[in-house]
Amino acid sequence: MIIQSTQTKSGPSERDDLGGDGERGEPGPRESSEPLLQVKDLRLSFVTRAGVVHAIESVSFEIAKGETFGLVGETGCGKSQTAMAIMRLTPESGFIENGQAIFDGIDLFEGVHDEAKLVKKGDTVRLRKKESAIKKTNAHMSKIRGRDISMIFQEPMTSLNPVYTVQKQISEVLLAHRMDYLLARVNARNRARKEDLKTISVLVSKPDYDPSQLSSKLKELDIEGLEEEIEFILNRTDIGHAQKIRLISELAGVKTSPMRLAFLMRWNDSSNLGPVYRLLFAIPGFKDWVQKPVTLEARNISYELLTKVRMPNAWTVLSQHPHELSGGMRQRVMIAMAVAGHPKLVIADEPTSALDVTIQAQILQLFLDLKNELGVSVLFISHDMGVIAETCDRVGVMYAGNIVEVASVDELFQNPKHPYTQGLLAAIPKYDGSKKALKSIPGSVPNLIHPPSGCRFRTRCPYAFDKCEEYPSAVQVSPGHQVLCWLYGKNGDGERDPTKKDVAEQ
Amino acid sequence: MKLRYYILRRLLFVIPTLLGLTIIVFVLIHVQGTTNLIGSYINPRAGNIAGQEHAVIKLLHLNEPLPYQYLYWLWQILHGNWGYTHTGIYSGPVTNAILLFYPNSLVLAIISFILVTLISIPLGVWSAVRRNSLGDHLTRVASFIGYSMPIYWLGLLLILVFASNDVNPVLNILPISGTVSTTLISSASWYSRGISYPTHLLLLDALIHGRLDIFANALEHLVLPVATLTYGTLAGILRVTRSSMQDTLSQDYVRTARAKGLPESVVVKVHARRNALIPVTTLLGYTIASLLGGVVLIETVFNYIGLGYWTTQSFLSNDLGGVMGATVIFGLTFVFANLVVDVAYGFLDPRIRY
Amino acid sequence: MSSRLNELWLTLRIILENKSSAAGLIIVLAYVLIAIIDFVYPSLIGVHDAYALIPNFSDTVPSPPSPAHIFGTTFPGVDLYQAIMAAIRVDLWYSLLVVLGGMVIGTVVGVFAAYYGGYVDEALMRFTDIFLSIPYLPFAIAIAFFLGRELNNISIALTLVWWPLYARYARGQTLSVKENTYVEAARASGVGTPGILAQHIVPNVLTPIFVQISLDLGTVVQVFAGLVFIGFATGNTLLPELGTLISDGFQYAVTAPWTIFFPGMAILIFAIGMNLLGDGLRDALDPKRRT
Repeated sequence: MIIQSTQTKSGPSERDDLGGDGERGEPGPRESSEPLLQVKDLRLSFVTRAGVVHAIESVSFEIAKGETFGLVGETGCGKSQTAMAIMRLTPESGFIENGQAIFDGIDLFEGVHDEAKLVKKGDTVRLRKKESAIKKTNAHMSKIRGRDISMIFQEPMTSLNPVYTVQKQISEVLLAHRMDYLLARVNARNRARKEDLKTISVLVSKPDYDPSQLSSKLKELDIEGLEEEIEFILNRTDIGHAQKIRLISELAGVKTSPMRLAFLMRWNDSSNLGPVYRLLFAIPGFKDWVQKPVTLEARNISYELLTKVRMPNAWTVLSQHPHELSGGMRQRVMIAMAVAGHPKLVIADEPTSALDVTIQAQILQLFLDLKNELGVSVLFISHDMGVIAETCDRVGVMYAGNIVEVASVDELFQNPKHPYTQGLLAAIPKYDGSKKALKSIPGSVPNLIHPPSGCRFRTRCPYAFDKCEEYPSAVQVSPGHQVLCWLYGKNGDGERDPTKKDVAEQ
Repeated sequence: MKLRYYILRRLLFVIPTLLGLTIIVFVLIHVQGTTNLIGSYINPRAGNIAGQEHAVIKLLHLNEPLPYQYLYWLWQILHGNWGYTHTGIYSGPVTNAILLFYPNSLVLAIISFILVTLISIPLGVWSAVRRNSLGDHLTRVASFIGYSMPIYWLGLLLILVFASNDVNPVLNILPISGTVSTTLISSASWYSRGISYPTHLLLLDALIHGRLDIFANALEHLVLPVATLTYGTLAGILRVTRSSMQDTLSQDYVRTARAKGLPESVVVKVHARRNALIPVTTLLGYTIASLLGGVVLIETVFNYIGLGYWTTQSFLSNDLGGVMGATVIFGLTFVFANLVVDVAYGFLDPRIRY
Repeated sequence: MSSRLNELWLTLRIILENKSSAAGLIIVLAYVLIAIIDFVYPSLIGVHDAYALIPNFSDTVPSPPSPAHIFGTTFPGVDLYQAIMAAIRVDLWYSLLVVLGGMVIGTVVGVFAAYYGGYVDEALMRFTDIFLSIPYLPFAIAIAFFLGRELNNISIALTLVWWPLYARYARGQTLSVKENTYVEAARASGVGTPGILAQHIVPNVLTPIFVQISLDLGTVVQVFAGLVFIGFATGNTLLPELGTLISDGFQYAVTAPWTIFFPGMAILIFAIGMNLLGDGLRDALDPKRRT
């Protein structure tokens, strides 16, 4: 089922205005309706000792630029695996049997069909071939991961490497994907002279100072690389103006030898180095020594990132290890790592499920703010309807490997059409004074090794009828709102319209 | 806690460990009563046995309660008086014997240890990364056999293979016994009865005296013992490295590293490997213990003159001084080796420093 | 109780599924069978005397394998096949003693230390650490030397060397088990300390220890034979023992390789079998693979 996205509601005007310029220009209504990510007919299975688990039957959706798309469903419905499939991080026993994922024109599922043919032999897996297929996939995806699409995982404790400092783990992303920017900063720092910085200081102290003047001035002085850093200093709320001026004037402090700089730039340009270079880099410590200025720059940027994610004591945290941090702090580190590469899409897999409620609220607010500042698209996965309601523009409801309903958030909550969605919403405990029994959806999630034929929800649906044994087709009930259910469209009859009755058990 | 404090704390811990070592040795000595102990402190060449016995009893205060005896004995030990040894290859003060035999064993042990780590860790990592490949299977089989094989038996088999024989004259390229060839060494004045001077380390002395032929010859004699010891010891580390690496590769943070778009080589080398080595380092202590035990067996099998050989000679001749001295030195070596391993561990894993 | 049997059965099935661990099980069972037969009815497998080597002084030089002597003979004229078959029982017996003894002492120390915690724990663990600070082979040599150079003392020495390992292990296991809620529940319902120890803690601690035992037995057999090989025991030199056999054949090794080959193989095959079984047991008991 292909679920189209219509014009999304404009970004920040409906939410709190947080000000600040995004690094990508002003927030505003998105112009093109060319989707950033398009997933069509994704089909994923796992080969296990107990049988083949048909985890995802058919998932299709689109995410537009700057949109936050939520994927909600119970545990086991396949939402995490959808995200993994997009990133091609599916565990070894998993296979993408079918489907397409186009991201910004790039086919993420390149080679999937060949892999399936090569590796799957009936119900068993040819391990060795699978290993080499995985290696090829990793090689091809490593240019996209972290740079264009990044991911935040659920368990921040185990998702961070315990033996490395926060600084190192964030810098890794920068060194891998934003080397050009790092070198630009190093270059600018080198070229900046005391007088240049003096000029800047004078400029920003003028009463009619306007941020747009800054970039043109810097361009004039040919030290554009320092723009972000200067802006960062200016935006700091913890120090006074005089301090900021002082910091700006100190920017040119550390110089790098031109030889080293030339070496680094040459090395960055040519992807294929001669054997002499490779030998040199094999000497332990040599590469680190040469890269020192870049690493220092990366540390500064890490600090800026941590501040952006509202990390208390950011500078101290940089040199700490994950086990010294609390859950909320670790998750902030993960978020910082995810946005470090300036991705276009951030996939957040239940980012707050492992945190307690107050921290959860802070992190969610952070997500909103970052979305506005950076203009990234977000694929937000959660099992918590409340969280989805707060953070997403549009949402897809998943059940047993299918997206059963898609709509904008408001529409979904006001007008749920699919019986499962209705059941989910009815099951949320409400405090309205009267004490009624909690409503739940009868039955349990089907066995995905032998799922029911046709609509997988039919075994629990109070409105199921004979047509449900056939896999339903998607129906558009209103612009931007689609349902995967026989009750609607041409086949639905008015009497069976579930909006007239309660789906959940009394 | 910073690394320095951790190291300092660990260093301090050495003292009670050494004390414990001495207590155990003392207890063992006194299991049989004091006659043998007295015997070991007597120099048979100095005559007046009865007089010497008397002196020893006074020295070690053997008429007083045990705890005092321990203190006096410990005092003697700390002052270098460990008694005398009378085995086939050497008679004289135990401390001298140790100085004479220990260097050769050190050479054997250290070279083997270096080879073990240099081979088994990269091999284990590689084997885990290329799981189920042919190389992986071969490695696992080879390490499994090495782990199950009695090390002295392997030595014997190698001796068989390389022995000069009518049956296989071809493979007689490596010496199968001794530390150095007797014909060659008889021309060296600085070598007598299995011990070389001045440093007691044959390889070094040969270089000092400019005898490169002896140096090469001594190296040749090292080949088989080192090979046997290395193979027997590396099997254990190989297994653990491989399984630990396998576990690490399935960890969440490795998945995160991939999700960050880092190239696979970086994921393996930077993120997976260092974490995988942490449990391996824990095992390193036991491996060194195995290595030291192997030194005893290998030196005996190959007639390689070192501490292990001397240990065997000592207990075969019922020489208490020798056994005691060797045990203490083995213990000391092990304590020191463990210290180094623990420091390395603290370096690898920041969590332990707290 | 029956749930334990079910678990045992499930474990057994998993072991048999995996080819290599099944092979290991077969090898170990074969050895155990030989040992038992040696004890009960030796001539069944052609062993005339299960307690002594039978020298043939009229023909002391080792002779190669032949129809009369399938493994050949070793010095002094002992038929190698009989000798090895008999020796298996001896080696297995002594090694088992070592491992069981170590397990008992180690488990007791470890469980007590972890259960009572505090000073008891500190003291016991320091004590254990002292033992662990001496490499095991020289230590065993020292102990056995001072006790007296005979076979039984080698066993005792090895036990004393081996128990600290089990103590550490048992302690770690107990620490993780004792925090479990079912222990609290048991205590809340009035079960006294011995009861808790016996019913809840020890069974859960024993399982991984059994795995450790099966992995260690292979090593202990090697070490035990090794100590005998270097001539440690001055007692009964005619007692069939694999280490003795190897050392007997030592002088003739170059001309008569079979004299050391077969006894060594006997040790090697047993160690391989035991290690395969131990690995299989460990994998089988690993909860992640039990589906």
